[in-house]
Order: sequence, then structure tokens, then C-alpha cells
Amino acid sequence: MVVGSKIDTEGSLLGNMIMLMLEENDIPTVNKIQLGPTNIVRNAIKTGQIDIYPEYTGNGAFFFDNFKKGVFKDFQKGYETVKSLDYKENKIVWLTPADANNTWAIATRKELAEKHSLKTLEDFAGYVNNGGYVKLACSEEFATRQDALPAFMEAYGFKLKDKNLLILSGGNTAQTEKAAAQKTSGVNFAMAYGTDGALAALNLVVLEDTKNVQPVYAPAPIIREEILNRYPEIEKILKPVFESLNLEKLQKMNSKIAIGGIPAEVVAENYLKSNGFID
Amino acid sequence: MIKFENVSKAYDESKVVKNLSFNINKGEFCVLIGPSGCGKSTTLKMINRLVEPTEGTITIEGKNVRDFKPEILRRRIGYVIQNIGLFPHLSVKENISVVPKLLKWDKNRIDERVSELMQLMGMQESLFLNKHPSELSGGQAQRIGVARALAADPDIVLMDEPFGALDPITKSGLQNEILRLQRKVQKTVVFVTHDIDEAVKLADRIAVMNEGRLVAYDRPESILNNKENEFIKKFVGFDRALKKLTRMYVEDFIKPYQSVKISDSSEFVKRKLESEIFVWVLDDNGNLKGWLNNDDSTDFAEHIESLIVKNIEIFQVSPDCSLKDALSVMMSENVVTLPVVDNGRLIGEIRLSDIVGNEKNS
Amino acid sequence: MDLSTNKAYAGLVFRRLLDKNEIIFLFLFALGLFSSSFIVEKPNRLAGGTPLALDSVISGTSMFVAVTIVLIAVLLSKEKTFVFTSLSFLFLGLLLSFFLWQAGDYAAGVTSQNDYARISLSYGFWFILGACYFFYIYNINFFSGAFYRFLLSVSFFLPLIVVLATGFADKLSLLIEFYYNQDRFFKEVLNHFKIAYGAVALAVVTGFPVAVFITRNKKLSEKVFNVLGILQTIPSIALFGFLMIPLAFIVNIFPVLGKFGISGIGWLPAVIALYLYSLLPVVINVFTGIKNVSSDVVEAARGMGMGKYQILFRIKILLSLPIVLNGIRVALVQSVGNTAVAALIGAGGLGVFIFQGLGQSAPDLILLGAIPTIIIAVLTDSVMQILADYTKKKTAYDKI
Repeated sequence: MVVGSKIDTEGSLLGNMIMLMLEENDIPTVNKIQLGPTNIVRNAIKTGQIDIYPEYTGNGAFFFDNFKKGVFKDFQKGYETVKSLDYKENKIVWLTPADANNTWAIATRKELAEKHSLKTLEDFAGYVNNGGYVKLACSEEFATRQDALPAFMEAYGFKLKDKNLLILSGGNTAQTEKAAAQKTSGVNFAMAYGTDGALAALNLVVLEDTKNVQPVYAPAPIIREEILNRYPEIEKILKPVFESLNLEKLQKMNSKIAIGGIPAEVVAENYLKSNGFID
Repeated sequence: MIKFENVSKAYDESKVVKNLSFNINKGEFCVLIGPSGCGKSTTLKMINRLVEPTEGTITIEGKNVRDFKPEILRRRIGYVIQNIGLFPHLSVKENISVVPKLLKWDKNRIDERVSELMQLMGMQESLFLNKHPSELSGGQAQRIGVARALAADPDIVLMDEPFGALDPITKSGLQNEILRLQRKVQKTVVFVTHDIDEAVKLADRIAVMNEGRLVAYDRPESILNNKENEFIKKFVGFDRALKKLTRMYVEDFIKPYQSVKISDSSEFVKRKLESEIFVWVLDDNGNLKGWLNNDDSTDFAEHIESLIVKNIEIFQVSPDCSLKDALSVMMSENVVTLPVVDNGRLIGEIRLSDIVGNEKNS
Repeated sequence: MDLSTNKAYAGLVFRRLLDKNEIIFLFLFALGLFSSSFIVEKPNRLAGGTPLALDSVISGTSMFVAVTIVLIAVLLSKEKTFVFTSLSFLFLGLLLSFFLWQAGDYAAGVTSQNDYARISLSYGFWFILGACYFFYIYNINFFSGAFYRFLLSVSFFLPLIVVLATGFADKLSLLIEFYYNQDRFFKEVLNHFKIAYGAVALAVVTGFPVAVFITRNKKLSEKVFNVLGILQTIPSIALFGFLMIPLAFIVNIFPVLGKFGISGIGWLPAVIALYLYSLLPVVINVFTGIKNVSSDVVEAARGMGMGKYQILFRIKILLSLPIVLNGIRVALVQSVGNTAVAALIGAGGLGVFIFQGLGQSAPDLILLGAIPTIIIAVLTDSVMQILADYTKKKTAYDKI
């Protein structure tokens, strides 16, 4: 069974957890973790090149369009919507999610936030509209996806032009956060994930999304129906693991990987062992 | 043994060999000679089918060469070329062993044959067998080339200007080797050259070619004596008389000599010199030590040994020396008589009058 | 004599005492030695770091001794004998390993206080290493014979290897990354070899008959070289990406192929692309090698009764080995380099660490991928060079 994941730190962590759990239960796996950005991985599962990978409920807003507006802002409703849509259209089954919201955010250096009194994205909008200097490091995905930066811009009423953006390939927020922390190439704002471990260590703060623009991004394993039928026990195997995860735990583990440099496999294995999921 | 019947070879429109018919006898050393482009090399290569005739047949001992597979035919014919073509990545021993290995001889037989050939070529086995061609001089390499061609003891050996790239000294040495070899093994040799001196020196019969045709096929003396054919006359050159001398040897023209011994008394020597212009001086074993002149200044009171002219090496010739070389010595030393010496022993004299005079009679 | 004349005199002596290459070596070494950034100290893997010069790591006396040792090494190397040069190399090797050891020691000290702290080797060290490598290459070329060169290389590299093996440098960031990723590292080294060498092996096996065939057909050979030449101009990333599409398409139609590891991502598109790149150097060199076999040798072989295939295998191929091996060398080195990029399409290999390092903003992870790749490329080049030279000696037409 081919296990994939997106290229970012948390993707690698969850992907490894999935793989270790499957192996523990004698299901043979092929490792295609950290395959690429969302669209590559999504394409891979649709064409059957990978069988399972961790995806986020909020991305349903991106993959599909026939849903009720705003439904993804709710954890449960969003999950159920994306589950039924993906099954209907692609015969992909969404398994039990984790109750953690790994949403997109914009972060900046603590001192800059204090200097300009930036606490929320509303403050940020004001800063931008008053001509404040902005160089935001982010991925292509973040800059162009309708439910990402464009959604922020629309909801809070600010506009960022090309010159305000530094687009990095790949979606790893370690790069963007590091750039903002070190002021590389004039970057002073960074794309971040809610569960990022590096934020505290780098002295970055997240600007609050007071208007709840972002949907809920809860991670869940998604699997091709064909494979699930072959190994129906997978649902039961992965459920307790994902149910045990929350924001803090994910942040801690992400931090170990990004800051400590401990490989994702090791962190995943340690978590599963210490929680008795594997021996 | 090798018979050409109406053989022609054409490339596109032009014929390089035109209607060639002649027969090479077994054991004969046949030299193909002619100006560049006369078709001599092409003719040679038709024997081992490196070139296929467009018309006519070639037979070896009555069998048409086309009846054999080319590779099989060639393994039974020795082939030596101008640039030798030794295989650089093989040792001397491996080079020589190529055809025997192709013929699947067993190892012992091959080793024996290699020893035989090295002896034949006068090259020390222990010194050369493990060397690679890049370590050999031009002369050594061509000797190995010849050895390689003779390895499987073929009845026929083809040689295409084999000494053309060598310096005159090495060339002459190798020519002598070939003559010596041929006396021993008596192969049927077909030899291509453009050098008439080489042809005259080596051939039993010379085939003169011009523009693809056979102009003459005869013994060297006859070719040299040919006064009718303008082409042959011009090709042979003005000095054909001298060239004939290369085919005649001192041993056939030796005349008796007068001599005294070192141990002889002065009286005896003095009396001898009254009737001779000079005498040769020998030791008691008959070895030539010098010569003595009838000169008024000779003081016979002195011991013979101190009177004789001793630098005899510059004059002496061996019996197998050619008349041309003997004549050359006479001319360079300004004398008309030379001592003929065999292994140090004086066996006769040769005189200018014998060389010049005899020329008319041959 | 006054001071300025003294200085000029010393300068003249120095200039005559040292040749151009030695001056370059000393200059680069000095750049590294006195650089403000010998190592970089970071509170964690991600944060920015503070550069530290060499004198933070070793004492002033040691610095002085180091300079003396370098000068002694240069003077020793001027005598181009085996004993003197190997001594010179030994001194430099020991000096390098001393620096590495001390850096490791410093790192051990810092990390014992802060688990997450990272000490990275910075360009000061790399300059010194580079300068020494330059010196090594310059001097080793004065020696021929694989055996002597091997011994000299040992005296240069052994001290470094000993320091690494005995773990004195273990707390340096680069080695921490290595130990964390050890299993994967060796797996990917193996993958790297499999992909890079495998592709070239395929090119040799298939390209060889093609090359032999086109030696007889001039028009066809021109067309073949045109096509292969165009292939070379395609950037590797583009070719990898391009191959993914048809492969994914094929796997869609025949899903069973997926069982054999065939898919649009992974080793197959990488190997195919690398195979296509390797074809030109291999084919052109086999072609040239065979064409350049002396026509006299071939004529003699024909005249002696060797058949077409006997001539091909026993003579033409063997004699063209030096050129062919050279082509294979070029293809292999090129392949090893390109395989680093193949990690982008999931093929594995050492590029995995390079791209992970890029994504995670962890420079030492990048080095974990890059340095072994370079070492493999250099070793491949050296070994193939030795092979090619050996066959050159054995197939020379004239004494070399």
C-alpha cells in the first residue's frame, strides 16, 4: 500500500504515523512520504499512484465547489461535507480526523508587531493601507488559492501587490518563518501554519484571524475506496491515533522536527510508542 | 601453383587490372613491380580475396579461390603489409600465435612453433616474447610481422611493400633475412614493391605491370637485359648493368691467389715478390693478416710482420657478397683486386676485370 | 640595509621560494584561517546564527603553530619525492583533523548546555579545506603510478577519517543531521548508486551495438548524433517532469505495472532521463574509438583470416577501450550529479537530503546530501581515470 504525504513538516509527521500504524498491523507499505505540494499529492491519489495520505478538511473548499458557503468554518459540518463529496466524485474515503485546526496564518516578528501595535489581521490591514512596508514570504499555493491570501485580502480590505510578496517553491513554513525572523531579502511577514513549532523559537507572533476567514483545517487520513475494501481494518487502526492528536501536541512534535532536526519518522515513532499504539 | 586466368578488376567505370593471366610456380619468389597505380597491390589482394575480381578466375593448386570461405582461405596464406599492423594490445608471442589459435592448434604446438620462428628470425625469445609492439623498433616489428605470417606454416606468403617504411640499413638487413629464409623454407612468395633494386635482389621471377596490364613476367636477368620494350627499359633505369651485378656473387668469380706466410723467411718473400706485384700475407692457419707490396723502399732486413699493410678489413669481401658490393668496395678504396675471405681464411681473389669483363658474357 | 630593502628582499626570496600554486594555496588557507566565520553558532536549527572566528575555537598559540605547520608542509612539498610529499600531506591532514576535532569539541560544549543548539562549519573551514584539497591535487600530480598516489592520498585523508570515525566531531550540526538520518542516508547512498550507475550501464549495453552499427553508415551516424545532442540540451528537471506524464498515462492503462514499481514518479522516469543523457558520451566515444583503430591493424587482421565479429570483439573493442572508458567516465560523473536532482520526482538518492534541507531551511542537511554526492563523483572520476590510463598503456601504438 502506497503511503504519501505533502512536503511540509506536519505532512511528514502524520504520514509517518500512518505508515508505522499500518506496518504494526502487518499491512505492507511503500513509502512516498513528502511527495510534493497539495496538487501533486492530490493528483497522485486520484490516479492511483498513492493509496493513502493525510489531508485537511478545509481543503474541501478548494477541491470542490458545490457546497454551502461557510460550511467549512465548522469542524464537524466541514468534515462531513468533504467526506461525502470526495466519496461521490472520487471514491476517496475520509477517515476519522484529528481535532486540531492547522489553519493558514500570517506571522511577523514580535518586535515589529509591538512597534506597530499589530495584534490582529485588522491591524495588519490598517498597517498596509497606511503604506506600511510589507514583504510577505509565502508559497505559490498560499498566494493564489482563493481561500488563502485572496480571502484574507477580501475580508479585511487590504491589497498586496507582487512586490510585496516573496514566493518560495514548496510549502514549508520553516523557510518562510526563518526568512521573516532573519529579515532575509527584506521579508518581515511570513506565511505560517497554526500548528507550527518554530514560531515561539523564532520569536514570531501570529496575527489573529478575528473575522474567522480561514476554514477549519483538521487533518484526517484519506484513502482510496478500493484499498479500504481490501483492508477494512484500517479505519479502526488509525481512528484512536488521530483522535489523540490536538493542536498542542502537534505543535510540540513539529517543533522537534523543525527546530530539533529530529527526523519525522523518529518523532512519530516515539509518539506512537509512548502512547501505546505500537510496541 | 597460383594461376591467374583473364583476371580483371574494375571500380565503377575504370579498370585497375586488365585481363591478367600468368602462373606462379610452387616455391617461387615472384615479385610484382610497377609504377604507382599499376594494379600490383590489387592483384596481390585478389589472391587472398581481400579484393574480389570482376572477371576471371584465380586458382591455387587447381582449386578456385572462390570455393573457399575467405576467412578459411586467408588462414592458410601468410600476409605481411607495409605498416605491419601488429596488434598493439597483444604481446609479441600472442601476436605470432593469432593464426594458430584461429586454427585451434593446441598450446604446446603453438609454443614450439613460436620458438622455432623466433630462432628463424634470429630474435632472442626471452628478450622479445613478452614485449608489446610499442616497444619494438621498426625492423624488429617487421620481423615479428613476418614471423606472424609464417606462424601457421602456410604454403603461400603474400607481402605488400613490407619494407617500404624502413630505413635503408634495416631494409637491406631484412631483405637478406628473407633471402636466407627462402633458401631454408622454400615458400611460394608473392611480393609487391615499386623498388626495382629490391625486386632484382629478391625475385626468382619479376612480373612487371603497367596500367593494369602484365608487361613482362620473366627472370630478373632477362628483364634487365630487355632492350626492346621502352617501358621496361625506362622502368629498370639506365643503371641496369649495375643492377645485374646484385644478382651475381663473388663466390662464382673467385680467382686463385698468391700468398706468403708470416713465418716465411725474408728471402722467400723477397723472391716471391720478384714475380708478383703484391702478395697476401697469411698466418699458419691460413688466416689473412695483410698484404705486401713490391716496392723499392721495402727493407727485407726487417721482419715480415712489421712490413705488411695491415688494414685488411676494409678490403675483404665474403664469398656471398654481391658483385655490386664488391665493385663498390673497389671504387671506394681505389683498388682493382679484393681478397675473398671466409671466416677469416683467405680463399681467393676477385678482380675488377672479372666483374667488368664478365658482365658481357651473362 | 634598511627595513624597506629588507622587506623587498624577503618578498623576492619568498616569491622565488614559492611557485604560483603554492601562493594560491597559502592565500586561500589564510583567508579561511583568519576568516570571521569559521563556525556558526545557532540556538536552534532554524534560528539565525552568530559567526565565530577560529580563535574562538583554538588558542592563539595553536593558531601560531598552525601557521608554522602549513609553512613547513609547503617547504616539505617542494622536494617532489615520495617521502617528503607524504610527510607534507600528513602534516596538513593532521592540521585539518585538529581543526575539525576542536570544532567538534566546542560543539560538544555548547550542546551539553542547550540540547537544540547547533554549531555549523562555516566558510572559514570550507576555505581551509578547499585550499588543502587544491594543494593535494597540485602535488599528487607529480607522481605517477596508482600505488604511490593511493598511499599519498591515504596520508592526506586518513587523519580526517580517523577524527570522524572516532566521533570527536559528532556534535557538529552536519554530523547531528547524519546521525538522525543514518538509516535513510545509507539507503539513499545505495539508491544513488543504483540510479546513476544503473542508467549508465543501460546506456552502455544498448548504446554499444548502436555505435558499432553506425560506424558503417555515415548519414545515419550524423542523424543519431544530432538527436543525442539535442537530448543533452534539455535541462534535467524538465526532462524528469516531462517523462512523468507518459509514464503516469501508461500506468493508468495497465495498473498492474504499478506492482513492479513502475509509475510516473520515482526511479523509473529518473533512470530513463539519465539513460538518455548518458547515451551521447557513450555512443560517441564507442564510435570514435572504433573508427580510430588503425586501419593497418584491421587490414592485417582481415588478411590473416579473422572474421568480422572476431575483428570487432578481439581487436576493435579492446583497442578502443581507453576512449570508451573515458566516455563512460563522463557519463557516470554526469549521472551522479543529475541524480541529486532526481529526488524532486521521488526517485530517492542523496538529493533527498538536499531538498529536505532546502525546504526545512537547514543548511547542514543540504550538505549531508551535497558533500557525499561530490565525493562519489570525484571517486568515480578517479577510478575511471585510472582504468582508462591502464588500458591506454596496454593498447599504445607507440611507446608513451
